[in-house]
Amino acid sequence: MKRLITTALQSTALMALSVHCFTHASAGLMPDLAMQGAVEGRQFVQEAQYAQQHDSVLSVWAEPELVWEWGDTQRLTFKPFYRYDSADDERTHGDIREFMWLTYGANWEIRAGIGKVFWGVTESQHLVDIINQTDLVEAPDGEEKLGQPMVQVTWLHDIGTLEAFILPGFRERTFAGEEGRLRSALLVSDEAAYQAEEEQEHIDWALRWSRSFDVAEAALDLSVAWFQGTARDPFLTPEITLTGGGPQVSGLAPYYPLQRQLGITAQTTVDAWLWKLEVLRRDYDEHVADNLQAQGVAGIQDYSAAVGGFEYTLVGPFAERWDSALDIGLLLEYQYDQRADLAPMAQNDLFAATRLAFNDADSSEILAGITQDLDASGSRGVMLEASTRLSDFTTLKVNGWIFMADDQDDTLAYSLRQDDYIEVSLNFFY
Amino acid sequence: MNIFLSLITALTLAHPLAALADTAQPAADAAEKGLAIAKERKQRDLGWGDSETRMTMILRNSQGEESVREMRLKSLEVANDGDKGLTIFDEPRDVKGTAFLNFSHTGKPDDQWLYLPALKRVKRIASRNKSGPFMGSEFAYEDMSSFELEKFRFSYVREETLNGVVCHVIEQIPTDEYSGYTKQIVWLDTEHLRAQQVEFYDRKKSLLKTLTFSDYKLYKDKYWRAMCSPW
Repeated sequence: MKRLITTALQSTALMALSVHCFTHASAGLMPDLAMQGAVEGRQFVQEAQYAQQHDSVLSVWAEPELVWEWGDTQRLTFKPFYRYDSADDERTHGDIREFMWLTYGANWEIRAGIGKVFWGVTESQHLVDIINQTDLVEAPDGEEKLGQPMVQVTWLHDIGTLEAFILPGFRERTFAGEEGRLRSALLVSDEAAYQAEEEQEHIDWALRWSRSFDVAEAALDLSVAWFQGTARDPFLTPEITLTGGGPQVSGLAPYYPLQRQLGITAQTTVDAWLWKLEVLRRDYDEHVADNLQAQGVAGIQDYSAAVGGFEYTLVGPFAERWDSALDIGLLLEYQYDQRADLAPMAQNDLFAATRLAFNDADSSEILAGITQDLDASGSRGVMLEASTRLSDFTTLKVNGWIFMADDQDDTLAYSLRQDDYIEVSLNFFY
Repeated sequence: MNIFLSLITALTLAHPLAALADTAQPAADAAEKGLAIAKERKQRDLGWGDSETRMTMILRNSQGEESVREMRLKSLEVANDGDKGLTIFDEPRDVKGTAFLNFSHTGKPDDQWLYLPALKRVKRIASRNKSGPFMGSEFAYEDMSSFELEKFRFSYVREETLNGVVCHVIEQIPTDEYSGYTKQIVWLDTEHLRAQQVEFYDRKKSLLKTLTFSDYKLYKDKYWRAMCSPW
């Protein structure tokens, strides 16, 4: 975005409440420091499936952010993260979420370091989002990501925004440990295997084009992205150990094949409707699928997947009757995966949710939704996210999940069926 | 939401039913004169190019409790269309880094996006939702849009002295059917055509809020900007 050189104070006819003028202290060597953290209590409401697991979990995390700015167009951001978890050693972990240098001109940007990139438009699933690995121990929705080493070049042009990524250094997905909930019966080991000879040193790359169009009265946002490199989603292969009684499956080992991925997103905004679509095509090398099949791992095959739906907002439906500023968002999305039964999830599922935005001074919000598997009628997930501001420095969040499954063949959902939980979190900001 | 309630009430009483008075002028003349003044107001403010504003928004509820919003607003003047505005939030801390991008348009709905720093995600907002409150304040999203002639039908009401300043009183009716307002009454001082006060009427046609501007400062010998505008 173009940096605006400024002298004048601006207010349109309506655009200011109380305006104070400051001389802008452009940063020197002293960084701008911000700090975030939280104390979280998680209570699992059902009996654990495995002996070592806990029902009550206390967890704390901190994420400082330091930003240095110099010259007119240089910025360095450093954002480490650390979590301590009372139950799960694997969830007690640290990461460098961001360590990124940014410089930019009128129509270009260059970033280098460790960072996060988000692609996508839908809410129930982030299908085409591929740059960062999921930090799965953080939350079951997979929205938390690990920092990814990258060089990113962005070029803003009339034909759209073009982005190129070089991604050296692969991050392995995090999985719950023995004492952690939200896991499968067999533990996922740290001993990952790769198709790429360079293993974690394989250099992945990606290209993306995005642009907004005006079609009739509506805005249409399109993006097309190509990714080539090591898959972020591992396939879990059985680990065999030889015991006195013969070979036994003692755990799961992640296997990361190489993949090629085409991802397309489209969103059109018509009046109060947002229509959203993400489409994905993934290809693997044929011999890899054969090798894995020989090990008893199915599901690695070229496939297409899609998720699409709408978000519709009722603005102030109770404004006149009850003087309430509440907005109600209605979301409906359908998830499709060509692999059908071989897909871990979201192969033929419907997501319905409502977002209540109270528009009060405390920015209170509630998002509640359900994902129903249309093939396995007993498989569904129900989620709740609520948040409100307690003071200028603290917010309160309540998150909850209910997982239901009665079909052993729906492996992922079945493994989570005893892990319903409610989490209360007090977040601090400085 | 009772933010600024006491303040609004006080201002409302000071100008009871101002908008309903004076229908003596023939409608066509009033429309012509109203538009001419609005055009002149827009004309005098052309050419500022770009600007950066620091804003402190103090929300005060009926118990007198305050919460503060700090934001920076970067604006870019666009010829032959609405202006572009980027609002970056600094306070409260939980929304620090959140940014709101608005491309105002003259002939179609504005384009609006929200950037959520935690997710590094840009979300487009359906701009038909313009009457919704902005950041828990008395501002609506449509108040964040730039002043454009095409967005209103104007009508001159009368001349009136407001707080010792001689003003044109102009009625402006939003042309967008999804606006949260049925009309706005604007007081522009006759000398510089600076907004001194705006009354907003809701869909029930009753007075919703009154915005006043004060402490005008001159930039580049041409552009007047208000330093303070309590509701």
